[in-house]
Amino acid sequence: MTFRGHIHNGQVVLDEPVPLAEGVEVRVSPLRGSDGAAAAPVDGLQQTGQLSVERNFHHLVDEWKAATALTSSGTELLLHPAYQRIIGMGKDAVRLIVAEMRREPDHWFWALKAITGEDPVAAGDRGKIDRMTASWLKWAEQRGY
Amino acid sequence: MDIEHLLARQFPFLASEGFIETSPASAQYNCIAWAAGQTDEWWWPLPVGAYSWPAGVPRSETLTAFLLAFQSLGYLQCDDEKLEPTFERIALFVADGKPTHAARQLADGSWTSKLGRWIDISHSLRALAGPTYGEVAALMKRPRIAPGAGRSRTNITSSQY
Repeated sequence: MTFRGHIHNGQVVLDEPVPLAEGVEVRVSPLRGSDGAAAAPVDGLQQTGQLSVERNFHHLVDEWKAATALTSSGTELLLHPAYQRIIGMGKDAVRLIVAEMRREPDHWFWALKAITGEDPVAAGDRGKIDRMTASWLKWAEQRGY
Repeated sequence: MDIEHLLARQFPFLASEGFIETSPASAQYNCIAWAAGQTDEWWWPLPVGAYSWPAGVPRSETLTAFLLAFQSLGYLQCDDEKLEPTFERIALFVADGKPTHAARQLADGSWTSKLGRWIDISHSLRALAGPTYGEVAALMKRPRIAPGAGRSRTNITSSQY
């Protein structure tokens, strides 16, 4: 949700009334510099958003690993709320999962399968974590991740 | 929270009972695979088939399914955890009605466990009782396999015990 406005007497004045409650936190980003030239706020926003996605991802990975370190249950691993939230990040998470998988192989197959709808793991390799990892990393390489 | 505090919270008897770390951490195999003698697979009866599980054994998170899984490896239920040189035992832990963990008895009478994606340890059976793994719900045994003979499926029947 984006609203347009202008700086007036040092304060942001929105061009139209907006349906935001009192106290809601907002982000303000200039569209043009003081010289009238288009700035790079969109890139900036994207960059900020990407950093936020990465931070959130790594926070969730840490939470998941700490909470499930002692469990053998595949169900607990894959249904843990942090793991499910990573799946909920959708396509944004694929590149991050692949990088994490390269850094430290772990049980990322289900998340990748859930997000991408693909499954490069041969039926006979299920449960063999090193082979499952190799299959997904090959898949990632073929798709430029 | 450091690992000592985590272990103390999850396994209240571990510190007093003592344990020895016997392998580095690994996400390649879990306690069920380790009890079955595998170090390159993760065993769990997830219905969607993401993990290894013995063929023909129901993929359900019930003690019955876990008993059948180890029965397919030649184990049969027994009543005690005493050391018998010619038998190898496993113990199945259950918490809140669901299987959580398996440990395997070593030749010296101690037990070996893989702790989730973390390390292998040798320990007493009581050491892992607690909120995380619950309590031992079943013990099974089979004739001890000679080193190098592998741990593949056998066709031992109850009359041999």
